[in-house]
Amino acid sequence: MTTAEPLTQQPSRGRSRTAPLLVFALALAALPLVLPNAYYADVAIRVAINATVAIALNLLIGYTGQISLGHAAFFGLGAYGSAILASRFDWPPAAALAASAAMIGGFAYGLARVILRLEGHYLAMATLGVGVIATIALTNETGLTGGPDGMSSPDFTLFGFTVSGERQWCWLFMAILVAALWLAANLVDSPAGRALRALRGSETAARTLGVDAASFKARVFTLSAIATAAMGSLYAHYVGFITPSLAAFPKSIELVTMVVVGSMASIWGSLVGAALLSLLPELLARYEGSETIVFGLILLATMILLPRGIVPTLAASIARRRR
Amino acid sequence: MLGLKGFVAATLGGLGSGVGAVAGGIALGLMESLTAGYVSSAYKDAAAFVVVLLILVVRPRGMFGAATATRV
Repeated sequence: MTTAEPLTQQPSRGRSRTAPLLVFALALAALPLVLPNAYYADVAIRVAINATVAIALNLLIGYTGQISLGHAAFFGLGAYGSAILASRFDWPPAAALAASAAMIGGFAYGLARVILRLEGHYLAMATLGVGVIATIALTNETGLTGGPDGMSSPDFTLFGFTVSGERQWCWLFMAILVAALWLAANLVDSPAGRALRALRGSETAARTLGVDAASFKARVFTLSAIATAAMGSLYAHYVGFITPSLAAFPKSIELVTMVVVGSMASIWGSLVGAALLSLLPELLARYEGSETIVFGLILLATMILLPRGIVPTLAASIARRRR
Repeated sequence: MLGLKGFVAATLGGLGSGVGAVAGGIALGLMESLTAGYVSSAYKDAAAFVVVLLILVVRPRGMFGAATATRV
């Protein structure tokens, strides 16, 4: 039942995909020029990073229906992998990023082949376990990672050009966000994307139709892990200093919350969810001491009033008004 | 971490099985203490999760979880 609805929407969605994305890309390109100071650019960058990771995670959770409560581990491992290779072994940052993303991809594929056979709570438990183990390893391998004190990460250089200043980073992350939106939208509408959605609807039904469930699940998990790890690497080079809390359980939960609040199985929903969860703490900073309570109440109200997530509920209400 | 450990113990034994939860809790505690004593106390908490991963690979529904048939 769950797959029937998106499949029928296919044609209209395909036609109107490029135009909004193009408008959005132009708006994002202008954004770094409009933002008044470095603080706003930093906030925009964090939104873009979270949104890109949320999109990658949504492919796994929203479209394929496989929970991951340990995705921050890939972000943290990507950040540390790149930082360690670049600062302790003097690799060029771009090569460090690619190498750590490739290693994490290999690890994620092997892991996915084994644990994605699990279902429901057991899968949640296993992914959570991977996340916790990664955090503990990052905290205790002080020789490589610097332990709980964290470690520094060098600037990001590509072909002799060093990315410096909030504005340049902002353009880089915005470009990546637009690319992620475009790639994810294309993937979802491709035959592979339909296979993924069929897996979410009913794995048994999908398998009877010839979908190689184990292979598709492992591949989407790997794709999601590599994207998350690469974003972690870039984040490390951007902020210049990282701690093991990047990989910790609360961060994983935050990522899942972005996907769920925005809307499962909606690319733009992930963007909205990530923006909401990244911006709210900044906006609520004035309510000193009670910001966590207000934050929680807003999330609770969102889920009660907009149970399918923000984007589909609003889209449905707009469509109703037009009619 | 304490709440997570409870979840780990229940999963280890098999969700929905009372005996499993007790056995899972005991196995978890033993593994943690043995790891702290013989391997490294820093990795004590990781032991719990390594064990649950290994058990789930061998028995996807936990030690005492019943194999269930799904109605399609």
